[in-house]
Amino acid sequence: MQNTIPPQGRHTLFHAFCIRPNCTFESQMSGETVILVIRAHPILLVPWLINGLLMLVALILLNIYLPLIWVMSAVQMLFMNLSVVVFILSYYWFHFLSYYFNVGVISSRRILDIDFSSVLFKQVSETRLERIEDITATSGGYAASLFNFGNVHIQTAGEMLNFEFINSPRPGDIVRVINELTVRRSKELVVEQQHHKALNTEPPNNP
Amino acid sequence: MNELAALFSDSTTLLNVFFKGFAVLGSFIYLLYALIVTRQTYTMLRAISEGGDFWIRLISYIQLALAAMLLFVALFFL
Repeated sequence: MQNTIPPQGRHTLFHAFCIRPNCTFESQMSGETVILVIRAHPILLVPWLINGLLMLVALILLNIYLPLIWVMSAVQMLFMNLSVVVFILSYYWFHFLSYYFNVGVISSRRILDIDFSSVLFKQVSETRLERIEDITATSGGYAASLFNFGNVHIQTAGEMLNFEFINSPRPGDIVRVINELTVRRSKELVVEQQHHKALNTEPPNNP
Repeated sequence: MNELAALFSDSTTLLNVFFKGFAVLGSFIYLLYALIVTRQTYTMLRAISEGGDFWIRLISYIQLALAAMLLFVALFFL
């Protein structure tokens, strides 16, 4: 099988597709390495960048037209401008945090889906690579075709949770990496089992 | 009582009172929001860390400082 995972770290698309990043996560085990970190495609940041700019334009218009209907003092005017600018910066910051911390992590042993919806709610789902049964990459629409992003659905065994990386860049590459890691992990487990069989010991319960 | 009546005697004063009240309330709510986001940022950085932790923490504190500054201006300068 062709090796699709480069041995050296690489960050592309504004850290939306990071191969072997210098990254750690909360439940990381010893000997477990992060192979891939995935975020939504950065092109999806453009709408809120535009929204922020529109708010700035609205502030300029407010500065021109508001004094015509309501004579404000200089301090009031300053406060209004300051609060709108702070609001715009917060808007950008909030969306950046949502972008940065909604992340999929593929490690040498597991797949994690870390979600911080609206910054306030945290959800971390994870599954072991050997539990993966089916991976599907879907991509549809003009933007998705043009910028090569789409959804990756990962189906796990039995009643376990299914994973979905939404609007991820290079979905085909993600599927290839997961497939390769799954094959590697299966081989490792077979070797481990043979080793324990030879020693006549119980294999450790993989977390 | 007369002072209170004088306060509401003309529309400009009334508008100014509303502006100040709105500004103080808005700034206070924003300060609470900034506090929650800063606290949450720490939780997020515990969940996943990728090297830019210092800058994320710094920007969170800047947001907190801006919120405090807004409340200060709203309380004492408006």
